[in-house]
Amino acid sequence: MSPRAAITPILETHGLRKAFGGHVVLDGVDLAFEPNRLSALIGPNGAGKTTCFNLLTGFLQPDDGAIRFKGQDITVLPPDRRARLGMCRSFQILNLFNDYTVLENIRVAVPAMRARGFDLWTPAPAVSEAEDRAARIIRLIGLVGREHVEAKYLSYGQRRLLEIGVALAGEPELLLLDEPTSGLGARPMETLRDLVQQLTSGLTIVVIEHDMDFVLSLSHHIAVLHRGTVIAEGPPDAIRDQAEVRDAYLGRLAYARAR
Amino acid sequence: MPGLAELVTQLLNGVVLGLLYALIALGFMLILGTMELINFSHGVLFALGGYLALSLQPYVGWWGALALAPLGVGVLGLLLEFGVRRTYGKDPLFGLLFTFGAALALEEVIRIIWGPRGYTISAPAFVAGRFELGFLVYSKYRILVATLAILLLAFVWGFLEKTPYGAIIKAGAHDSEMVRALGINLGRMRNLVFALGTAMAGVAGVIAAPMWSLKPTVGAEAVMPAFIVVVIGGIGSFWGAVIGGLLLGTVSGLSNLVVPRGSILVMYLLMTVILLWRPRGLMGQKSALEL
Amino acid sequence: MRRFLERWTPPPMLGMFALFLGLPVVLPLLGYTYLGTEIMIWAIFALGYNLLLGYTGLPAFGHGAFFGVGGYLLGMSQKWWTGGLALPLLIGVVGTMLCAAVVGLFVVRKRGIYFALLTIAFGVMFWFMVFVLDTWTGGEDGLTGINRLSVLGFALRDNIPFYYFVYAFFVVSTIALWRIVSSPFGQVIRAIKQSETRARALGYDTPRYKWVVFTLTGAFAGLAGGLASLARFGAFAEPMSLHQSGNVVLMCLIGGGFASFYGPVLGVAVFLVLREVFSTLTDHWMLLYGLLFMGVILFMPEGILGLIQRVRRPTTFHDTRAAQAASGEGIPAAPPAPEQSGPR
Repeated sequence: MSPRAAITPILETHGLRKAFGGHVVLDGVDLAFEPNRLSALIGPNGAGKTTCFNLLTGFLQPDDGAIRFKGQDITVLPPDRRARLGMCRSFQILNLFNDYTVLENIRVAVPAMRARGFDLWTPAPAVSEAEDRAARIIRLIGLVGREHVEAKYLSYGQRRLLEIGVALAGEPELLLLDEPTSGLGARPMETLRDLVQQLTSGLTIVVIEHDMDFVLSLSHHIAVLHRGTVIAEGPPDAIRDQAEVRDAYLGRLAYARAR
Repeated sequence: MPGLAELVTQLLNGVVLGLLYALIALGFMLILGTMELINFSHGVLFALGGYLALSLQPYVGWWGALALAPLGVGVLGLLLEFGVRRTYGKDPLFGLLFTFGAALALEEVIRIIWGPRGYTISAPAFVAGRFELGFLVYSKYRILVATLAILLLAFVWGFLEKTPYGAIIKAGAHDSEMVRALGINLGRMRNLVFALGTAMAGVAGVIAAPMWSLKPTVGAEAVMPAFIVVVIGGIGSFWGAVIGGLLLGTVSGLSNLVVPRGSILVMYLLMTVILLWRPRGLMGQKSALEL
Repeated sequence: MRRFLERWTPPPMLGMFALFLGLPVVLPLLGYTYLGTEIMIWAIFALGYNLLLGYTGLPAFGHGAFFGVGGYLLGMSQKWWTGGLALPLLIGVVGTMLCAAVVGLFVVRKRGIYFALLTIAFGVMFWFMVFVLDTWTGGEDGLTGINRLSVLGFALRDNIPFYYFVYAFFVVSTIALWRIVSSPFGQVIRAIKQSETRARALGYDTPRYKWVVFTLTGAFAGLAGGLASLARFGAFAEPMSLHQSGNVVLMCLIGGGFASFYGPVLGVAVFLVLREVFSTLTDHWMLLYGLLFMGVILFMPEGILGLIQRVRRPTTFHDTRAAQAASGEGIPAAPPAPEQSGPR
């Protein structure tokens, strides 16, 4: 018996189906993500990756199938419940609190603040646990010195970092990143890579990505989604060589190398 | 215990009222669905329809007024739309408040032009009097109102179902995003919908005037049932507006027999019950406006 | 000391309190005694309401109903149930809060236009109930015969003692709302306004938060309504109409409720003063009013304080751009849209 079979996945799906009107986006998706690993979910546009994320995080309900997180069936739980269970996500299209400063963005995501959500009396900056945690996250994502800048004034690269920082601030056990490098130039990309690389201890990360360098160099496990089903799954070396994956990606791969 | 004749009369009154409600609500809903705008001035435009008809009638007769007054209201609606335009894309609150301000201003304009007192309008001579059928004696005018309302509703139905513009409006009636994506000339469509919706209010105002009498505040009273009808019937559904209107009209008409002043409260109880049972209204569809 | 001030009564608030403290000296000289009281009462209403509108981003349009309910509950308590002053006021506040809590259950899961529609419908329902239950409420004539009584030996029948009676509530309400807005709860509701999706993704049960805000605004509306009925010696249906519900929204908007905590107070003052001015100019002041409404919406939607903020803001923006240029960071972000500014 191989050692892999003994590890319980932190997140798994069984037979996930989702259709919009007559258009079937996900057709029986089975996934399993091991804890403390960085897994990538890749596939051409339209393969259903973001829909998958939306189902995993509870922003959409599946037509069929089940999702289990840490062994618990979460299929019908609303998004806020799932976040409280330890699943945090970042968004493909930046979804920050634009009028909030960097500090305010991070701070409101911290569980210590969330626990006092209905506290109507204490001044928010006085919740020191939240302030400390926020400061640590800001250091981690490299936005020290910009704590009091409103998110809408940050550069795109900084906003991308903040996007991840907000998800991290929730102290997740599972971090879902939806195209975190989307639109980034070379230097911010480096920063992001370093950040993600640092994170993998004690944290499970699942990333949707198109950047093949990022995926192949950082992930332990890759699942390839194409037209609503998983067509390949395995470690990066295995995936890189698989014919189906190359076919599905022919145009995309060439584009990624050219960048 | 009300006799059968009285019961039937009230029922018919309720149906006529319901048809009027449906007409007003439909115009209101078209604007709501297509532009995500609560048109507060809908009520005062209803009133203006009646007032314009009052002034035009001596010159062009009743039928002439019936044709021209809604036209005038529709033109006014177009003018309003130019103003509302600046609020598109912003918080829906702004469009709402703009039409709210317009409603205040227009109500005062009515007072300035026609004075603050009310007018009782009598039905046109050719439908004065009562219609007799066995035990039933019913107002001829109300029968005319019902007929006209049905014709108008049928016309709107035909427009929505059979014409390309109607198809787009129906598509947009609960999802403006989609319409935009289809590349349809949104500006022109908005003009059309606004003009149509407000003209419908105007027509309703003309034909309702002999029934409800005409005073500057009649607009505010007319627009409130429209809100309820849309909530009951569901946003974006033609039949929702019609059924909702009829339901509201008949229920409040019948409750007049039992509890004279309670009919309005009954309206609201009805709305609450329906909302509890069907949060989107009887025939509403899930929209981006819900969680 | 500075932190203490910031947390309880920041300098602008102290300035505002001082202003209102001295108003009864100035106003009689201009011929107005009642106006100051009216401004404070509506300010309580508007400040509370802005929690919902400016901070959480929920355009409720039926809150005039809660204002009215507060007044009627106070009146009915005083005349038939308990008599006195304190208990009716309390009943007014708590009772209205309960009404808001019930209505809130229906409306918090809806957004945008549908939300507004429902709040209108419920608001008008309360208005109609006043006429249907006319044995209790006095119907069209209103519930007259309410007494201001006296507090600490001061007869409130006189305008000056009553002014300071209301002033006390004004101060307490303002401070309470400031604490709420500065609290973790305040952080959450402002987040909900900026992105409800993100707030949910962070683990916040957003409908529940919205419900709490809705209920709170009911309490403040009830307080204001109760004070108003004391002021007028009667409770009337008129503030409950659709009309008046729109007024409180406009008040918040004109002053800049989307941009500043104090916006509603400024808006109330501007609104009520303008109404006085307009009605002395012409009988048809309603026309000017409506035109004002439309003008503000078209040309100054961020309100007075928002406009001032926008004019001052470019300094900050340029500082940031300079810092970015110096550090060689990526593409600067696009300039902000003023409507999106949240209250500070």
